[in-house]
Amino acid sequence: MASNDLLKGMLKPIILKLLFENKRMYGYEITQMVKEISEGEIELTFGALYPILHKLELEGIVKTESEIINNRNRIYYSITQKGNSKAKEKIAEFEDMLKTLKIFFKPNFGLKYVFG
Amino acid sequence: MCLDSKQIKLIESDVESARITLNHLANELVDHICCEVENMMNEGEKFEEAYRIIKEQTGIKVLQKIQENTLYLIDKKYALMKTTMKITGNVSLAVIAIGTVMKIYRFPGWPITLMIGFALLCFVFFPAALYLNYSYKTEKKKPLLHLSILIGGILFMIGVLFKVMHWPGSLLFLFYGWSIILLLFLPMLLIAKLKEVKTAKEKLIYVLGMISLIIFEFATMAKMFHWPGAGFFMLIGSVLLIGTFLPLFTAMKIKQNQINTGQFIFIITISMFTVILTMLLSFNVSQPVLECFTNEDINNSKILKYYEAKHNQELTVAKLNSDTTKTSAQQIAIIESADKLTKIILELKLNLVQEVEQVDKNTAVKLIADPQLIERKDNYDRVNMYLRWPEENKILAPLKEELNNFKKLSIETTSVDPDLSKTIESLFDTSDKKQNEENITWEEANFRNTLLIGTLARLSDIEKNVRIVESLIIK
Repeated sequence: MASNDLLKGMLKPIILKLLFENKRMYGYEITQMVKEISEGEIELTFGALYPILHKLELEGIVKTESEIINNRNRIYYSITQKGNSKAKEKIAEFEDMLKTLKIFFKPNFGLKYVFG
Repeated sequence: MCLDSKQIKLIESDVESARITLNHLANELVDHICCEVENMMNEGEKFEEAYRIIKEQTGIKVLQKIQENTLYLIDKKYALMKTTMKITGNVSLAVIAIGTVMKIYRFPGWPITLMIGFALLCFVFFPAALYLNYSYKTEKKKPLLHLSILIGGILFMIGVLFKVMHWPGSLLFLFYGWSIILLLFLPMLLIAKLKEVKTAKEKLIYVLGMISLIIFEFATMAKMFHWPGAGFFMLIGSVLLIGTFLPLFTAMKIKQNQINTGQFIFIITISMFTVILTMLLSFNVSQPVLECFTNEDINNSKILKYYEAKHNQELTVAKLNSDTTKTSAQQIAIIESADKLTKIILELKLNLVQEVEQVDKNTAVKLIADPQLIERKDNYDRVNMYLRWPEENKILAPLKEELNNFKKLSIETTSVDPDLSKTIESLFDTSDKKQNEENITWEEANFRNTLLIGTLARLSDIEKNVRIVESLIIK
């Protein structure tokens, strides 16, 4: 399982990517989907999730709508029009970063670099 | 499987007790917990067991932490206030502690250290903490509640600072601060609390706690103001608070699963210290010291009586022989000066006792005759107030002047006996002294921040010395 230190900074793009693809999601659904896709490797606790969602909402990247489901209020998050480009930007930035990281962690990359 | 409305209500009330105020966060948390529970129920668990397991991971503290983390992320002002509060809270306490140690050891710079500590506590930490508590309050905001503790608390802390610094007016600040806290803030807090709790038992526990706290605080106030019965009320208050309210309260909290072992140990330790310190405060620790001063004053008075009787005799003889060489004009002057001193000292004593004990002149005369009867032997605030510290002391000026006159006359007469002259010189030395490189006047050295009974004893001592010297010279 990925450690918390490693996850810091990655959660925002992960959440954005999920919202981008699924259009509308609620908190529990996001945590479950992260768990499912990562096959349990990434555990997104609700303690980490909601502060990020609220921050995104404040920045205008996502918007919320409330619906009564099973006798209780459920808050759905979706990406706003304004946030669309920003979300794309963030996701792209993260994908670039991942590519760079992949090069970095190629087997024996360090040795090749030293010995030509 | 879906939860029924009763089960959802239970989860909602638990989340409510965590005081989640941020717009839709409470709804989200309820929904999230419901989903988790439903998930477990789908795997075969019963609601009670499933919720118990989930609750262990999502206790009140966890929920509050989520809100706190969210506020930190979305509200820069909150983050700034919180950091300010944490830093100034710790720094001001540390500075006050250092200032206190410096004061005890008389290191230079202690007044400014203490003042900085108190200023940080009063004007930065306290308002920041209250602002946070007020602005991010869950239910209806209670401005009067926050305003009362803000004003009362600041007045109280300024009073404590003034008291420590021996500045005049400390009692006034303490009185108003304490009164606002006792009569406005605590009752309002109780009413607010009673609205929150549900069962009659809980309500009873809070009422009991608040009443015992008010008794205890009132007793502490009474102790500081030297009102009678303070010790008794302090014992009653602390027994109620520590012996009755605390066990009931902790039992209730443990039952509701709102308290962990660490917090329990903390509560017990703090209570233990409070009890011990209160007991020390309620029994007068300075009793032996007071007795020592009282006895000194009584003994001085006894010696004085003997010399006064002798003096009257001598005066008669002196007056009879005034035209002969036996009694010189100088001796007459000494007798007159001694009489004048006695008068000044008696006047001072009467005024002091009247001022401190708040009694009329006749009672003051009785109290001076029998100092055991004085109630506020250990008071020095009012003594200081009467002597008008820290302004230039004018009340003691006539005493000092006459004492110098008496000394001058006595030394002139005893010039043939250098040993006696020297003794007189040192007995009535009213010059300034150096103490820790500070100039200390005779008035400061003898009368500043001195207990009432100590002041009386010191005055009697001066009077006694005057009479002894007078007697020696007339002989």
